[in-house]
Amino acid sequence: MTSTHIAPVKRAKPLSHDAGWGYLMVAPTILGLIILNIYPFFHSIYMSFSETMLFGNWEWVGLDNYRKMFSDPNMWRATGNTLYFVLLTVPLGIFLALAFASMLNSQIKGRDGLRAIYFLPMIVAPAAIAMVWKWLYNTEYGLINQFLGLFGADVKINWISNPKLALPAAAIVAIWSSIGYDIILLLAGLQAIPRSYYEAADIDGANFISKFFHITVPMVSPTMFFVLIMRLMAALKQFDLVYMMITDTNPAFQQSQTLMYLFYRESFQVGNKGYASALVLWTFVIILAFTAIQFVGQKKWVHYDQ
Amino acid sequence: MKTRILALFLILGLVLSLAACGGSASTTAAAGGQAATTAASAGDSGEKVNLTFGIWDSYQKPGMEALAAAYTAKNPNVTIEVQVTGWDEYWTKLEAAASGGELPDIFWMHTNEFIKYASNNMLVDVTNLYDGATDAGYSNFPEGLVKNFTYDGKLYGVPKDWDTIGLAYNKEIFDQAGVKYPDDTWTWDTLVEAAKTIKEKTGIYGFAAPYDDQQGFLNTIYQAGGFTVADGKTGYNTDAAKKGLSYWISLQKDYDFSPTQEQFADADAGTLFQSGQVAMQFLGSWNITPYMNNEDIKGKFDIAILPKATNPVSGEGRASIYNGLAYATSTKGKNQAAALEFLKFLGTREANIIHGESGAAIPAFNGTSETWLTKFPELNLKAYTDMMDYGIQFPGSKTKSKWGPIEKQTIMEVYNGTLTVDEAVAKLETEIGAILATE
Amino acid sequence: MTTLQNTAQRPHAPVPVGKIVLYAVLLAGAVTMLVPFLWMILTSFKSVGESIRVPPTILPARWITANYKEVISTLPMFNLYSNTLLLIFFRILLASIFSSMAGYAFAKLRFPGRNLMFGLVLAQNMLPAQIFIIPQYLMLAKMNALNSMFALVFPGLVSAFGTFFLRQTYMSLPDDLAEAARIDGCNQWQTFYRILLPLTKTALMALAVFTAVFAYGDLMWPLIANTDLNKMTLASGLSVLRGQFTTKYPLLMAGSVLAMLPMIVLYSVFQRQFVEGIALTGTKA
Repeated sequence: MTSTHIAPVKRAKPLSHDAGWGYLMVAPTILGLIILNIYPFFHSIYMSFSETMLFGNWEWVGLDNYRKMFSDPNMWRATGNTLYFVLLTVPLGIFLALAFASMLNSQIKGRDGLRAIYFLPMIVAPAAIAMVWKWLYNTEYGLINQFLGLFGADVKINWISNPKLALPAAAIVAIWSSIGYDIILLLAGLQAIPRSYYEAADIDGANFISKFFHITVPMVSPTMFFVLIMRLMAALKQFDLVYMMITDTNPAFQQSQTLMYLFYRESFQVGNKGYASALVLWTFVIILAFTAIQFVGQKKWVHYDQ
Repeated sequence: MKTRILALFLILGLVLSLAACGGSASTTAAAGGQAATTAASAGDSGEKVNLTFGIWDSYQKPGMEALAAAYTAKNPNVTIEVQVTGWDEYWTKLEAAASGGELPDIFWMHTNEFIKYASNNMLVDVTNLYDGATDAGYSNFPEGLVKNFTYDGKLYGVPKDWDTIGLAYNKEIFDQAGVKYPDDTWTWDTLVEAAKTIKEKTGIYGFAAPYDDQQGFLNTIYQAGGFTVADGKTGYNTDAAKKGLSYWISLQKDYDFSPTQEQFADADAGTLFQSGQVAMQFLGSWNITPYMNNEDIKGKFDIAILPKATNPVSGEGRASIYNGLAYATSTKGKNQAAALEFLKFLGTREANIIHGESGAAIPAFNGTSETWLTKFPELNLKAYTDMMDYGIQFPGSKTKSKWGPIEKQTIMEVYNGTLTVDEAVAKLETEIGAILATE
Repeated sequence: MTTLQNTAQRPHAPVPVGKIVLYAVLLAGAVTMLVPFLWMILTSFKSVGESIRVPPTILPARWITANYKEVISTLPMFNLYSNTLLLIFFRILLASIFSSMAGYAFAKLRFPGRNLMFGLVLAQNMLPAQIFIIPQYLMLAKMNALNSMFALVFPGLVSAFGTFFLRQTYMSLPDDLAEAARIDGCNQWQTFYRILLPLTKTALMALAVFTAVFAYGDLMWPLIANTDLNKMTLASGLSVLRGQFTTKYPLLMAGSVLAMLPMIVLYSVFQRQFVEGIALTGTKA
């Protein structure tokens, strides 16, 4: 009894009736957000216009922080690194997640066990992940170089100390540790696709590729959209992983420091919370831009009908 | 099905919350590591007080707990709970606590952060803590340490320990290469020769020369007779400083007996030394306990004093960077009186002896450092105490958190090959000089 | 029943090549997932020296159980477990309830200011968690509520992530279902509660998983909000094992392995529900 081709129609409901319930149901969340998150956010904005002395003492400096920020080569490099990180993790990450989710959705033996294994990285402590991967990437003795060496001459790639490779290496770890989340989400989305569609397509003689692109992708697109947005935001906010794997005495540091890493150093090591707040706002603006583009673009490829 | 899950959760939650309430009482004692002293608080006249003691090094926890136990033995109404926070999180947590008025009763203070806290009235003025005491008082501590924790003429911390830098060497590798162990005749040149020989004869790296300030170029700069930051001025752009800095960098760049900076990114100097991958390194005394806990290196290494500079621009050619921690208490603490009493105890000879014997660190009280030496008699730890004669305080100033990163980034550029030493020191002089001028 | 993924099914081939490729890829991926985890376990049985040794060993030279014993005696594991589980429980409860309501409202109801409010929700997802730490800490300090379970739960009282996620979910549910309910005389709440909410079971499972994993891994907040080690969570409790200059890695690994156990238990409980829930929502009646 699934209705198949009804486009979302905006029905004119009596506004007052909706509004009451509407406000009631969003109230707890909105109130909570205002107190917990929005107030600190505005506080951050205010701080970005001041030089924080310490422990809550600050003095207003107007646009100084922003002037400093936009003329700081470190900041621009960090911005570039962050954008590069997005490029490295988002397309590949989503593609792999969708591919594996589809595979884990099919009738195969040991599916439950395999799923459990793919979810495993989600519950390994971040410190453990960083330490383990650092070892895997070790130039002399890491398993990765050893494995690659099996195919020919000795491989001595400086995964995390070569300025060109460090960020990609971190990106691989990022995809590895978050693919579990995306698979869960996409599985939920894939499961919502009624089998009857595929059955109908089979009857029509469609092959796998055709089914994938004409049924799977459109129907899972709302979930994919969500995954895309979340991956994007996570990539732009990246800090933990790079912080633990690439320290500031690593030759590859300047080519790897992300915006949030720079923020952390300015905020907690240098102690200039005002400047750090300006960095956060800059990051926020970038995320906003990306998100806005996605929300506008979703009309092209996301299907909300059933 | 879903209700069953919910029910499971609810039951789990209830059971655990009950257990948690019951559990924490007994485990607090266990976690605090207190001996029977806490339970046995004989109904003394004093009120029961519980003090929190914040530290960042789990290796030193036993030592701190020994101090706490000794104090509680004399003052049974006071229990002290040692709280370890990892170094990375310690300062964030302390800062949040300071802003919120919830600092631990006693906590460790580091020279990097001291001025920040002192200048914002976070720490109690303890200048007069020992007034009237006979054999206690600040004259019993090295002048430099006391100075470190003095701000605006007042003292805000009780010195806890000091550490210096020495030369660690792997005896087995030296034996294998047929090189004589380092002694006090060693100079910069001897170091280079020895390292070269070891690399040639055994293939093992002779010396670890990573980017490092406290355990690296600061020592060689001062050995050459230069200085980096002192009394509001910079000394980077001088012949002496350049000589010292170039020497240190050359050890990695101009010879093949040291791993490269890329290799250090994979495994740091300490890891390499402990794995027998490098024969020598400059080593701070705080590493001794951890190294002796590593059965891979225990018994295979020893310590010598740092080599002398060859043809220093000025001075004798000897220097070793020292630093020290202090105990401090907060101006907003709720148990200030009790905390100050404990603080006072921590600065006594007796406490320092306990401290030293636990091997935690070299106790600051003059004459008690020998107790630390007894902890590992098989090592020539005397080298560290000897180096104190040539000790130079780890450079710092009010704005260090601003210029520290600049120093690091600029010198790293020399390692990366984008700046020469001359360019780097000129840049440092300009930029850091400007920051110092704002103080 | 058609299988979804039979690639290149040739009527004459006895073994579907596609299936083999499928298994191969999945297994390769699985190995990649497992290797770091196995490394973690192996390290937990090594001595400190062996754990940092270059060249590294794979199997421990001697299997040392002392690390586990030391973790258990140094850290109040029972309290850490219970705090973590309770935290997860409360956060899932709060997130599910509030985010479902808000998600439904944003997706299906129209009211003035709706888009602005949703924009606020979205904006929260764009901000890094670090900027909230100190302000939230100060709020709790004023309320004198630090060092408690409430402090742990505090940042998760509402979930911007959950709201966004469930809004997407409700948006993918057909409007005519709601219409039919309205025609039958349900009001908005009943439409939500009786008709649409049950259809989001899988999504709620996913949200529960996310909330659980995030609460489980959050290190900074419990560390700062709670000073008593007995009141911390697993992640923050373990962080005290990291030193300024050296870390006893085997200890840290042993602690991390122990810390994973509750999550594995939770997962096995969820796993069955997950599968059944999926089967139920697979075909929509």
